[in-house]
Amino acid sequence: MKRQMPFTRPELDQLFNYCMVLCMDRDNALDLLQDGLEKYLHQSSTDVLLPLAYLRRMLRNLFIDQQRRNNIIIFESLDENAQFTANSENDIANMLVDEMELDRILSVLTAVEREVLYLWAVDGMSATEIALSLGQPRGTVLSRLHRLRKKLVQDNPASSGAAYE
Amino acid sequence: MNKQPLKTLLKEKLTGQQLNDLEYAWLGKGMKPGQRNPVWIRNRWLAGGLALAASVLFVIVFFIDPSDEVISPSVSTLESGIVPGIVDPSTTNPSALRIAEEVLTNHILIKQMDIETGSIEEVRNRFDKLDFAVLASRRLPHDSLTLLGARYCTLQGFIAAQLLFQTHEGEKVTHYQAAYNETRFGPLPDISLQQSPIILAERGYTVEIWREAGLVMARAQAAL
Repeated sequence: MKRQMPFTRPELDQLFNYCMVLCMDRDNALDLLQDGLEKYLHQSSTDVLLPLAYLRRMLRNLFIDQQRRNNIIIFESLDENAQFTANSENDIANMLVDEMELDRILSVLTAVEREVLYLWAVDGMSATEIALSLGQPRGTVLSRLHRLRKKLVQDNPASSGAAYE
Repeated sequence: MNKQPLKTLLKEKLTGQQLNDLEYAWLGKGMKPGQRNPVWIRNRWLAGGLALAASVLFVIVFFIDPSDEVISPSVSTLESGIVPGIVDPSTTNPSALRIAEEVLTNHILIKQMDIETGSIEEVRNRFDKLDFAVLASRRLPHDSLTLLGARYCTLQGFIAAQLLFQTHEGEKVTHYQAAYNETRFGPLPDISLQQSPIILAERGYTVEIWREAGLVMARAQAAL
């Protein structure tokens, strides 16, 4: 029996944005969203507690599976020498960028790094919450934030340490 | 350029995408497993075809007969990525393809008008849900077109107006207006800067896209 679409249009837009963050390409993001919805409608029972979060996890797993199938490595090993601290989060928050710089930055980040930024900027999660959401140790997330900051500063030295508050 | 806190700009950027009406309808109606929406599959073919056409055009213009001033585009048109009268420039702005696809679908499946009127002023006054004022575009030959009516629609997720015209020969012409947003619509030629509209042809129709007075505008009609 065909199930009714359980998501509203703003929710689908939100999911589509998440897919865009992973894929960075509209057509691939649409494909991923469609695959995820199909799987969700086929598999999940109607009493999923947090349908959006559940589907987002499915989308993430699907994306990772696709990347693996295509032999694209999206998970990098952690930088052993990274001196990450809790300040990494604040350091990034204090950076100033313009739209062109942001586009350039996004184009050099990996899908995992973009996802961390999405959870941090759009969902407003802290490093601890991101770690819980991704099922990873907090240190891993802080390390990612540290490396992100390094990439941002390398790409855009003028923004380093520029406080806006 | 205006610098903003990374978090603010990121949030804007990463939440700026929306499904268009067709995509939403396709996902909402419960697709068959593995079956892709023909609209976005076609977009890929169209994009690929246009990229190939642009490459061929580049070779023709710059290598085969460089001394021929008639076919060599001016520096300004090249800078803007627009070659007048040639189906191409969307290769520099993929969102133009999506706009064209959306416009074309709206044109082919013309829906019931929200108001029937022959007056642009009346459309402007009665369409109070728009976040812009409907204008009589300089690009349209108003003397040879009769306005039949208008309805609300969307362009790339933004609220828009569709105006339905008819030529003296009885040919339908649809015209679209929405508030221009560069993030959503990408760079488009502004006719007030003497830039030529993007012209695309598909399935026997011609779609023109341009900017005018802070609005994104499009026109669709059968290719004659």
